[in-house]
Amino acid sequence: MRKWSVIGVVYVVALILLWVYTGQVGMENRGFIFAGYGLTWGALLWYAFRLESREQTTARAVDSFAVAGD
Amino acid sequence: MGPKSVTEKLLGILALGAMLVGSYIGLAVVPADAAQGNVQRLMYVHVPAAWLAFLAFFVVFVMSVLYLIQRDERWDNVAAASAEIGVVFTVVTLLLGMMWGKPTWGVFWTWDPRLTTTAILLAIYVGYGALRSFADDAEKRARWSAIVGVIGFANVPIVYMSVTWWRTLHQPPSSPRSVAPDILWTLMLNLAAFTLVYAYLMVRRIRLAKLEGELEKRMAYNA
Amino acid sequence: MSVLHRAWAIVWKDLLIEARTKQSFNAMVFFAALVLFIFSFALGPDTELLQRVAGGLLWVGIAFTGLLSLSRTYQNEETSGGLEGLRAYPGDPRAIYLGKLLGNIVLLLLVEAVLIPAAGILFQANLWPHAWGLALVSVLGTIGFSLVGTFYSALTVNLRAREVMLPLLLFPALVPVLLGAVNATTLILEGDLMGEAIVWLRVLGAFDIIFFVICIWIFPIALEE
Repeated sequence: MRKWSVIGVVYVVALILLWVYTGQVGMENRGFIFAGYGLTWGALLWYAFRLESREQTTARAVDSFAVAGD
Repeated sequence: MGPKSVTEKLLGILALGAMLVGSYIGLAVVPADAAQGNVQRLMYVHVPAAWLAFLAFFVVFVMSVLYLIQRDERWDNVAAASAEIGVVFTVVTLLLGMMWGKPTWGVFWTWDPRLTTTAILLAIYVGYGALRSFADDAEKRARWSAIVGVIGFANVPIVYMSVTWWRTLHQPPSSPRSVAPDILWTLMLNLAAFTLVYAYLMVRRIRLAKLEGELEKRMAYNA
Repeated sequence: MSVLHRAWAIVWKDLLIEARTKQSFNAMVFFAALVLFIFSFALGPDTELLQRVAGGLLWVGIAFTGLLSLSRTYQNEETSGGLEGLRAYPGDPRAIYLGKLLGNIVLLLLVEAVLIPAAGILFQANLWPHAWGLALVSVLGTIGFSLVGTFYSALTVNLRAREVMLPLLLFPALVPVLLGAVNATTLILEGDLMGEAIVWLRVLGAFDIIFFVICIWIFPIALEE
């Protein structure tokens, strides 16, 4: 799970870089472009993160029943 | 935790890499569109997201039909996975559409055919998800959601045609001929990237579905 | 007994119960009138505005009223334990669907017979010259609504939180019906029966046929033990 903290940090850094970049290049509507790409990456990363946590929780629960039942 | 195969890890890395390359090229390499300007860059994520959303729901439809015929829970697992991932892609599609729409049309939302159909698609599959969460019995859950999966998708072309007759504001579908090669390649690249992401998420979500099924069985056995 | 015979038996039984108690009918008419009143207050006394939106408001009223009666479709059987009561019927389960479908259609049409003239009065729209067109839209739209409604009603009868699940599942599925009915009604009220209204009537017709086939076909699977 530590790896997700790293990913989170990288994501925020990337966002900052994106914001700076769009400013430097003088992109019009940079807010919308920034928000669009930021949201896309954020949503996909967040979902992947949630999948992994659910997987771990469920796997642990399955194992706990195995001890009693098998 | 079950063993994660090398293929799966490779798929994940490939997906991530493709997405990175795709976004980088879309944002920093490809020149801005002559007519629309930089806002057009949002299309490199919006169009693939929309495509994958529809693909995901088509998969739900096929899996639902297969389940109703064969009653094999593996089809149900795939359907459930694809529906959930489809919802994620649909939300992204709608949000990106809004991000593109405001600077282009001046409004966040219009009632044009594709946008409206996408919103309704979201409603259908959120309903699908809600149905699954309220059904406790595994077989009933699989059967009922398969039914909703079939009916929901069968409705999509009808909804689309109805809304098309009603309004037409969305851009006409861009055929490859009318699009500059640079833009087309970037689009294809991002489409491939998104497809890899879908595939990777599917692998993981299906495994989760199997785990949840196993948990249910063990809880029932131990009850 | 053939499927139609059984279906008819169910319709007859339900309508008799309804005729005697008038539970659903009264509640529906009252609720529909309430909805129309609230819309009128919300939109204010601007006659022109009311006339323009009359078609839309009418169908919103019909949709919510219909929803009210849908959740009670299987109520008569519910006392014997939800779908168990339904499965106890001998013979082809499709007869149940047909019977309940017809019952819902008749009931909703009866309510609309009161509601549409009431809407005409409240929204100051002159309805008589368009009576036949309105009747046609009304019938086609009601059939579409009831087809999907009766089906999903059976699906959600044993579900937790079904008061929420039924509209959640139903309304996205009903979009073509609502679009078709609202647009056809509005066009007809504006006198444009020749041109575009026919397109919408076709959408309604196509929806009705397609979903009749699908729902009748899948219903036994929905009812399985």
